Amino acid sequence: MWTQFLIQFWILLVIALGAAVLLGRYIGTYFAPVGDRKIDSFGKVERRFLLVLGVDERKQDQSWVGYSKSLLLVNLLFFVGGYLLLRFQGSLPLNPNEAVNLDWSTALHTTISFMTNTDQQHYSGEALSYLSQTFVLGTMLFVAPTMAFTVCMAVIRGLANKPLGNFYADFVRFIVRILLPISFVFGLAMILFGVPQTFGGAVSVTTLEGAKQLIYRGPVAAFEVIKQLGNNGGGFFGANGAHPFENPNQYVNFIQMFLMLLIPMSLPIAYGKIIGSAKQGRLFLGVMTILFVMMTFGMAGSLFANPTAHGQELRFGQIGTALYSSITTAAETGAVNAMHDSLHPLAGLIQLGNMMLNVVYGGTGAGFLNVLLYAFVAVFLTGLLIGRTPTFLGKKLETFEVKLMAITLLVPPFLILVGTAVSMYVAPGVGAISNPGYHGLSQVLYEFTSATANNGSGFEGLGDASVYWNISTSFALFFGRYIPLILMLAIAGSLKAKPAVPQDEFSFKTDTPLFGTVFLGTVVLVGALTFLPVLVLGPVADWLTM
Amino acid sequence: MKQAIRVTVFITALCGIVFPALLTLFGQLLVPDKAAGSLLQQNGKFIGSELIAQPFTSEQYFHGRPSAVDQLAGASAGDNLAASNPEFITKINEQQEQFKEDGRSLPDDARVTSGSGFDPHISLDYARAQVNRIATERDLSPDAVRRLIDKEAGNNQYVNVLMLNLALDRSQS
Repeated sequence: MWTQFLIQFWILLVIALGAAVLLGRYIGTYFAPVGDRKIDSFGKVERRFLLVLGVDERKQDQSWVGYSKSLLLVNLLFFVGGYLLLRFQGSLPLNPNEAVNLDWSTALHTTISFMTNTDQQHYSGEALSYLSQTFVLGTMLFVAPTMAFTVCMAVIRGLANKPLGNFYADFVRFIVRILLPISFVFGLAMILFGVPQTFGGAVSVTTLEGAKQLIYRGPVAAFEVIKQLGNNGGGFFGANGAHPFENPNQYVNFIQMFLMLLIPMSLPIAYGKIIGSAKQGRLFLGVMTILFVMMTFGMAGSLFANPTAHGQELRFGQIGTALYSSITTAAETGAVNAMHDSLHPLAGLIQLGNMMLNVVYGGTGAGFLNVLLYAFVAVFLTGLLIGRTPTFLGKKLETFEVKLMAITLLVPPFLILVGTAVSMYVAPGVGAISNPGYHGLSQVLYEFTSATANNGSGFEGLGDASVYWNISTSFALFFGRYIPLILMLAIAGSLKAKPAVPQDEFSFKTDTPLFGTVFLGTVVLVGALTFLPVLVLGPVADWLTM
Repeated sequence: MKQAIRVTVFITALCGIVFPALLTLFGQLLVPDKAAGSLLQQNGKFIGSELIAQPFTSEQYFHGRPSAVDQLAGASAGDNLAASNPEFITKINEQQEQFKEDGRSLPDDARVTSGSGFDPHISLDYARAQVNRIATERDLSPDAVRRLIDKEAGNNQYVNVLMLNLALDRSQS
């Protein structure tokens, strides 16, 4: 088992890292600050197109406030449009299976959930019309990851002491240049390997024993490919990636894992290219990969020591399940090819750990923003230790930045722990728990962690299809996403306005193995100190009392 | 505001209409059967999908894995019972007691539900445990049934139940 696992893991890691380096360099080239950017022939078409849309990048450079405003405005438009279309899907076209309108709280939760790149689902995919799946949610699957990606690019440009850029240009460029072409190629590959892509409704078949079976299908491949590439994770069907139509065999399983890792792995490389220090980009990628390998070994160990097919699909085996389950929580995608609720408690511990750290690659853009946040914290801590003003890339981190850093760092634990505590206290919260004992706490904890970390997977036994859960997790979804995005933009804006301090031989270098170690230590320490108590009460106690 | 609306409309048209339409078109052109859900036909009627489990209860057929959902109704889900849940432990013990085949212990995948409720496969152990029953019911030699399993499984450690049962029917027609 372990040999097989090592071979598969190694192959996946090498292919994903290789592709990510290429993609990272490409992103670094075409998302560089306007002044340094190379213009290829497509770039000229792109510029003309953007001008038609009213966006002139060269003249409309935005401040962090302007950038945030444009971002929130576009989000608002998608929120309102998406909410209304879900509320009235029953009377809209492309509804062969006669799906009914979503109620207000489910529609609200679903819109927020998909727009925040989380894709937590309190409905079952079979209850949506094809218009909702393709036009509404399908578009959001492209838009949501792009939001964090654009912020990530603006922040990196700010750190490089360059103009932050124009939100609209970044937004259109990422979708047109990166997401759509890759989605098309791998979407087609998925169809070739058996994922359906049809607007035909559910078919009724006569089984060999003469019964009538209803088989739901739909435009699955188009949904599936961007769900993985954009680290979205929402399922076309209730069972998500465990459903044979979403994930019919090991080949598709492999493609999905590759797509989940691709963009998050490429961003450190893009960062290195834009700030002009490839070494520092590689350092971050290296540290993240060390954490990822450790977590994945933990996952494999917990499943291999307790092999079972419970909640799993035979075509993936223990290896395909372990890898997928680790990657989906590490890269904050939230797609599942096995039911996480039914896996061993230690597997749950690793899943929760991945989501709580949220830097083991993390989702598109959001993960790398967290990496930068932890890098600031690491620089700040070392600054305290050696008694010098902390600087990052020659910029001083002072009171304003440190305050914002602290808030950004505290928002996720606040949402997760307070959300969990309140839900363990009120009746509609506790009432939703389906597994007794310590595992019940894990269910609630998982729900809020997944919502806050833009993951979206769940311990799905939790009866979360209620107004209480829709509203409470909507708070976690919304603030867990937008507060860090806006505050990181603010930090970048403030750093950009400062003069760079000349680096001398006594400055703390942030591209050395020493810094890598301090960075790793900071991530583990902050994560462990914050969440250890609740993890002991949940998955660890669940395991010890089995 | 104007920019925001224009960009939103443009991106929605591209991602929500052009992309799925293009992919559907190419799917239809290249692999129409797979794009439609790998449906199986017999005498002009749809009898199932190669990828989706269908329920088997007759003694003449191989049985699939337990499912948390009604497979005839089509919606997918797992049972989401925790490994530590007493209900789960009682359930698998009961199933073990009901098991009459060969007097051997029941393979794991025959006792526990799958992730989707539509896992189309069973393990070779579970398939082999059903050989004697099917051979008796169908008046076949156990070896012939075993050969069918090996043929359908290929190099895998699991076998597609629907395809296996179809092969079984074919072998006697």
